[in-house]
Amino acid sequence: MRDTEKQFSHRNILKRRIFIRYSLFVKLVPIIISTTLFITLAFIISGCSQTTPQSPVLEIGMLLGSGGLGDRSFNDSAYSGLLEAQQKFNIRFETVDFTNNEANLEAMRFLARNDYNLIIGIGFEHKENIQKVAKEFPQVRFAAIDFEASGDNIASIVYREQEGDFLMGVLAAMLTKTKYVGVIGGTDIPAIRRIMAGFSQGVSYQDDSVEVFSDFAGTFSDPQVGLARALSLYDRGVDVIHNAASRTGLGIIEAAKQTGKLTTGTSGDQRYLAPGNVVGNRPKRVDTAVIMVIEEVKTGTFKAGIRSLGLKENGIMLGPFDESIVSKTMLDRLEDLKQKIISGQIVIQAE
Amino acid sequence: MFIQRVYQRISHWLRQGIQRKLVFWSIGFWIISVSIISLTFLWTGQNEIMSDIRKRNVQIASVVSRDINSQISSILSDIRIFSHYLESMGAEMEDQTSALLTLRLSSPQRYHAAYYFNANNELLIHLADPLESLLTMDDSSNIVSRPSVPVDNEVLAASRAASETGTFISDVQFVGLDRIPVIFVAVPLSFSSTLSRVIVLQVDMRDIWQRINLSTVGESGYTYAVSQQGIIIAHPDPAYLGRDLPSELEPVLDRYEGFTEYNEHFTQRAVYAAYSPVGGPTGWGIVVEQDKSEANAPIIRVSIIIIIIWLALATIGTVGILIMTRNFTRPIVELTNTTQEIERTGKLTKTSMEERPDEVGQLSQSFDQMIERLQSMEGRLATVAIEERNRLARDLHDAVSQTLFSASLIAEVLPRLWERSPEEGLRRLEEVRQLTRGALAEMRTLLLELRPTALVEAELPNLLSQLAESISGRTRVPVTVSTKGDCSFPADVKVALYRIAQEALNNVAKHAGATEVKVNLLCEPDKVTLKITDDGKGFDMSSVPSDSLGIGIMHERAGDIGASLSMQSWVGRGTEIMVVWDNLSGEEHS
Repeated sequence: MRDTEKQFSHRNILKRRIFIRYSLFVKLVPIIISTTLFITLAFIISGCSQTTPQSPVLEIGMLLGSGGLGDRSFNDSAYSGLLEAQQKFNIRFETVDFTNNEANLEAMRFLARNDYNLIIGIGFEHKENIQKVAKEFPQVRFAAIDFEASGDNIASIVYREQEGDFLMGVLAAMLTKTKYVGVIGGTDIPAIRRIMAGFSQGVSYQDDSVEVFSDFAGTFSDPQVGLARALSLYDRGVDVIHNAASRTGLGIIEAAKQTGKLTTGTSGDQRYLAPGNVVGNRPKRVDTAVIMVIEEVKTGTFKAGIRSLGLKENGIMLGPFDESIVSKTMLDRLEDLKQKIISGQIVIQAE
Repeated sequence: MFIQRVYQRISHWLRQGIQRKLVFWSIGFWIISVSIISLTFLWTGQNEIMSDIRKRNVQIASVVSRDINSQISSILSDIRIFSHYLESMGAEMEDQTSALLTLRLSSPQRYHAAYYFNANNELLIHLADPLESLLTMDDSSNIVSRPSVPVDNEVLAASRAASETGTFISDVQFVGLDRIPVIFVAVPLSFSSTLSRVIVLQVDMRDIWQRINLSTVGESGYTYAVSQQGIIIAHPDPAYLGRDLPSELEPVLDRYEGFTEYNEHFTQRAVYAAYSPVGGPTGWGIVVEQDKSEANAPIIRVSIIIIIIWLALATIGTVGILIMTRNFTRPIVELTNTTQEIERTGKLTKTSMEERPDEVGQLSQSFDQMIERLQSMEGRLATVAIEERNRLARDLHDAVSQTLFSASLIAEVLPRLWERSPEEGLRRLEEVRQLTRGALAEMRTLLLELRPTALVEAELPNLLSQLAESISGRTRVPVTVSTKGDCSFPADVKVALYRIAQEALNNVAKHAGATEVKVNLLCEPDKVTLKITDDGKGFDMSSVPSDSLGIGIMHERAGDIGASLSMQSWVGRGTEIMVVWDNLSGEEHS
């Protein structure tokens, strides 16, 4: 009798214990539920009252180079950089065509006066103006693209053209059958000197026995001069001419077309001018520089001073080439050398 | 307090039934999980839609402002080129005038008026005439020689600004009786280091404003423009022109693009506003406003759909859980009701449920089987009780009543016997005494059978002498009991020895026809010996099977306590039964 009583009371205690645990659980459940509901509600409320953080809109002014929009090379590349930056960074921009130095100065001042965040000058023709206006408006930032300009608020971006021209020299040396190649520059300025130096180094790197004829046309804008100079070079046995003469170069292309010889170029894709005679170009990526500077302004990392872009920074592009002239092995060779230049195994002198 | 009471009531209610618990928790968890899922969908849906609205409206504002920016840029660019043209043709007034006239006539929609100032801000030429009179002016010298007219302060200010700082664009002005929105663009002209002039053009903005008016969003969304000074300069509703930009949208003046919501100041409508700066020299801003109610309509639609789905899911789930739980717990409830019924009435009834193969079915099935067995056991118990009663009646009749009857007969004749011979009387009295003692012992023995716990409590020697007395009372054979030693040992041993002695003495009484029976109990510390001897007829050990005459039972009982039982019988000379129990552990048993 006593035993069963004991057992019974023991069971009771057990029962009570289980109940205590159970009731604890029961008490916790509403807490858990209400917390979950509260968090969800809080999310909803916070979701509703959320507003977009404001984003500043940059204003970019660009002074185009002398060719103007539609030149299919330099200025168009810069403009496409602006358009890409507009998509990427939400900017407003204004472009100013190059008319004359006076007007350009006035336009640059106008932009600076209206608090543009960045004023970009494309081409060396802006050098004097940009240095002058940058001094007058120290709070405005300027970018000088493809020329060296000094100032506390000027970011100057130049190209190591010689790297691209080195590869064009290699290509010319591979293409020549007569072992004579030529290069015609516009006028005797440092940029053209760099092009010629890079080209010559490329030729002799590929084939020591190939001779390079260098010539200055004395102008960037007279195709007739280019035609005469090119014809004379082709007469002397040259069968590939590297064209570094801008509009004058159109004459070189014409000469190549007339004689059936080959020509390479520096900027833009000019294959359509003489299919079968124009090998290809190595355009400067002005758009890369434009986007780079705008991004720096956007992120607050703008830094003044002179920088150079080459193959490594995608500042210079190879091709496109006429594939009926340039074989796959040549392209592989160029790609291989390009990687060597990027990694620093090949160093090209600028002079 | 109230919540606690409600909670207590609910938990009390819940504790009453497994069905309630199951229903409560299942439905609780179902509704909570469905709610959480719905709320999550609601939340993400709202956020998605909201962010879409935000992106779309900001995008519209951005596109409109880019468009206006490029419009202004191209106007500026045109004027710039025109000014180069004026500069390049020389300072001759008549040439300049005819160029200006050509410009005005080339796009009369855009260039409403042209003013030409000298460096001292004096008006030289004005071409503000309506188009019809311009067409009749073919001689530019007439225009040059026209007398000066008073011009707007705005024009003068623009001219002054241009001559001082360069190209200038004024804020939007509303000119004429029809309040046409215009801007004044002033450009300095320099012909030589000493000669400079300023040209001011009045540019019609209606063309551009039309783009703003055309940019609508939904039914309530519209676009408007503000000036750098924060004044509304273009609005589909002319009443808003000239009003201040709401302070909530001021970031647009600092060239920020963004999105906000606020209550429109004049109508108190809640609106979503996206803004984007036009940028450039104007510094204008574009705002796209849309009624919150319209923009939120898709959110509300989605919310309603989600709530309907939530309600449907909650209802379907609840009904499903109810049906499931009922189906699941009904047999248990029925079983419980059946047991309660049995408890209340004491009538063993089956559950009478349909067959189910699951655990609940098995449970009710085994319950039914149990009830069946109980029912049969109940019957058996009744017969056993009757049998037991009969046995008791028989025993009482056989032993006690016979003895008492004999005693009463003797007692009846005793007085007369006493008179005849006192010695004979005395002898008979002794006989009566013996008979009643025997009956008493018999009664006690019977009582022991009825109350087995008494057997456990009593001492073995007492039990043995009681047994002896009852036997001798029944059979008139003297049974002597002799005990030696301290006889206290475990109850099971005691009961077994008692039962063996009882069986042996019964056998003696039934079969032996003895004249004397001796029961010897020798208790030693490590050993107990029980010996029962009679001088009856004995039997041939070989002719009697070992399991008959209760000998088997005696052996069994001895075996149970680990004792040894030996039996000796000689025909004509009696029988001896000896039980030896070794207290092997040597323990002192209480």
